[in-house]
Amino acid sequence: MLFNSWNFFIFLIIIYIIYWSISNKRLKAQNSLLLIASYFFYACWDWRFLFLLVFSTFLDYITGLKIEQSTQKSSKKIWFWLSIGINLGFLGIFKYYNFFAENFAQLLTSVGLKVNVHLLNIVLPVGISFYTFHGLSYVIDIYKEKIKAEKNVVNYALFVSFFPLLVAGPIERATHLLPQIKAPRQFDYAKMVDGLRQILWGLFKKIVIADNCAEVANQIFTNPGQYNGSTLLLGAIFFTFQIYGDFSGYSDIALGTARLFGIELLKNFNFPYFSRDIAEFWRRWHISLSSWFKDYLYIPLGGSSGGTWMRIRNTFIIFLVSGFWHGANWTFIIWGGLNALFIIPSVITKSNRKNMGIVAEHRLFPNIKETIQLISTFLLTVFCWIFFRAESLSHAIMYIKNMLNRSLFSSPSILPIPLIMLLCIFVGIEWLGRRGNYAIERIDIIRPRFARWSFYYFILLIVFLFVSKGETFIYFQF
Amino acid sequence: MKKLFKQLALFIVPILIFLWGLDYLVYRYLKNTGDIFGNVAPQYDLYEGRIHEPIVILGSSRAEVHIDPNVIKKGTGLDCYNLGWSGAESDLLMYRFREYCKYNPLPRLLVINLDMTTFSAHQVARIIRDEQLPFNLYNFEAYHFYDKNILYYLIPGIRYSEKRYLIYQTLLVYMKHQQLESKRYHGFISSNSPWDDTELRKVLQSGPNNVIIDSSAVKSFYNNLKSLQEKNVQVMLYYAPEHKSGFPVYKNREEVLALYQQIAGQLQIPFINYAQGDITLHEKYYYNVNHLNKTGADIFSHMILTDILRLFKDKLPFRK
Repeated sequence: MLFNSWNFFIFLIIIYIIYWSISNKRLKAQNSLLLIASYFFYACWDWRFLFLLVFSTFLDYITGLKIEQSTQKSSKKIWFWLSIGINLGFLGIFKYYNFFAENFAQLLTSVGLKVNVHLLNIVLPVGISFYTFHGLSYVIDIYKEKIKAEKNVVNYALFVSFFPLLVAGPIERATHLLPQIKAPRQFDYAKMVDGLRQILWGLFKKIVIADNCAEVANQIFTNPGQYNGSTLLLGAIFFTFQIYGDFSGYSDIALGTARLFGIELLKNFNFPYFSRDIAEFWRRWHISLSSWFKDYLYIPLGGSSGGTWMRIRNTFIIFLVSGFWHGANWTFIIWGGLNALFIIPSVITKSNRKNMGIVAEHRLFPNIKETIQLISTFLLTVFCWIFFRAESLSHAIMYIKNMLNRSLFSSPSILPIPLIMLLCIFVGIEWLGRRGNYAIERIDIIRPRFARWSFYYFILLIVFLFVSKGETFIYFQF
Repeated sequence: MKKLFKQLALFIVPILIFLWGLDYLVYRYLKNTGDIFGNVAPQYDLYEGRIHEPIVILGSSRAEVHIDPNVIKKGTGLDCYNLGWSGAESDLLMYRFREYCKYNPLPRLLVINLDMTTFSAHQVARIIRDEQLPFNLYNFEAYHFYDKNILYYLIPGIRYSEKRYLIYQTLLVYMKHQQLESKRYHGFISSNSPWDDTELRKVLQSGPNNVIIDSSAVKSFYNNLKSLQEKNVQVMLYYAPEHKSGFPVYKNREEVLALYQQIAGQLQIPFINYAQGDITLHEKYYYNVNHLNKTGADIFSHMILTDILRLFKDKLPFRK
């Protein structure tokens, strides 16, 4: 059940009405309803993987309790590693087994040994990387005594499986979400309207921007040999907008949907393409994953407290792991490595936290220096996305080779003017709304209502006219 | 919550008005767009009950571009309408016929074109064609054949989402008070495109196919024909000409043709295979392996006219 489908729309209306019809005092009933709805939502993808989700939930629930109850450090450790091992084991089998088996076989072949490896013919359970990370953070936090284990199984299961975040995040923390699940939720008209507004903007990003960019980007990426350099650059730029529209659109719908049920999820995007350097980009892109790696990998590795080499090593580790988290393919690892490479200069000069605020915060336009910074950061991310989008390393290298030659300065053979105009409108709205949590958050202050609603109707009209074939969300494959 | 629902209801009213307006606009003015969106004129004729011709041709594009009703009319003295529709096979073919019967009187003679894949169990994915869209609101039977989103059949206008070009063209003819002429004559349209066998070569490269017959589709077709006979409708089946280079596409070609012969035999109706003889030999009669061009269609229309006159001379009031 995709967020951008009519089925989800009907599902949401039904659950919403039942949810708020249940008295606020009956928190247990509300949570049970959300859990059932979440499992139904997940079963719509593939009911067989629901067992895996339930198993993973129970595993972390029980190990969490056991870690807390253990009086001896050794038994704490056993329960902790049992949970970590099984969670990562599932992820390893479903997501990484074939990658390692193939590469191991290739390595042996290269030294003259012939081996026949058995590859698994399995489908990756949707959302496994996301709900595994929910569970991992919960167990690690209990082990480190940052939080108490949740006693109520429904509350914990809902924390892992809450349908807006189940299949593609944001990756929540128990410290943030569990207290909300346990507290009574009041119907708040302003929050509901805000949730609907964020859903509308998410739909616009996904349906209009991402899906339409996808059509052109797919066409160009499928046969890069057929196009000149400028067309290939355009293809990479379209993919850059596609992935942003797709994933941040999904996150907006997830956040808006959760808000309709009185729950605030972690912010996942903060206008990443308005970043002045790569470090800033990573503070604004997939924030919940970046902060997860920071808290559970970067800091335990020593973070930035050590010397320069340690900081460089740690930066490379988290970016390579982050790349690998996205998929079992060398393209993702190179993508992560490139981002690390681009961030290293600022790590060495300790200027990676230079740009913490909003660009041109009190001005309408950026100054020349900021403009150059914005454009160069954007182009670096465009370059990195080529690896992310490519089917293989050779595909990416071929793409870049064909792009970076004289034909880069010729006119592109594909120039979808309506789409470019839409992108201009989109970037304009995002720029004007960059001080908010999402681009159209502050539309709320527009008076009279007629003007405000006219804007919503305009967005809806564009969605109506430009609705594309309804591609699935890119991040569902992770 | 009441306030939210009240506001939402208020918000939705203009949207519904817009959607109703759009639905009306397209329904009212799509007919003025000529042939831009394909088989538009015959769709309107069908759904607005204007097909009163005693001879009706039914089938796929191999009927639509092959039989000229004008030739049939001149030869028999009876009006003829070509209801051929690209991709209309098996259950869709019968669905189209049911729709025709719902809004129009039954013909005296129904000439049905059968293709190799008419009863194939593996039907090609059906794309909802623009000309069908105006007639799908509350048309729940269409749901089985087209878009599987029930809301498209319930809520006006939303099925036109993404149809920017269609909305634009309809708006254009509305604003300019235009009435673009259709080049079709009673559903028939011919093509003068040059010979192109690119698709055929692709198909042949991937090796010959086997048509897997869907027996339930055959049975349903058989029952439909039988009920037509009971209503005194004369029926004729035929297999349209095709260029001989396309013969190897289906391994069980002869088997499929024998099945058509068998259906006709059981119902005691004629079945004629026109994919033989001189017309299959020359590319000059075709624009691709399955479709005759203008010249070929003219020759074939006269061929089928001769057979209609011969087979039904005692049953239909042909002009002497």
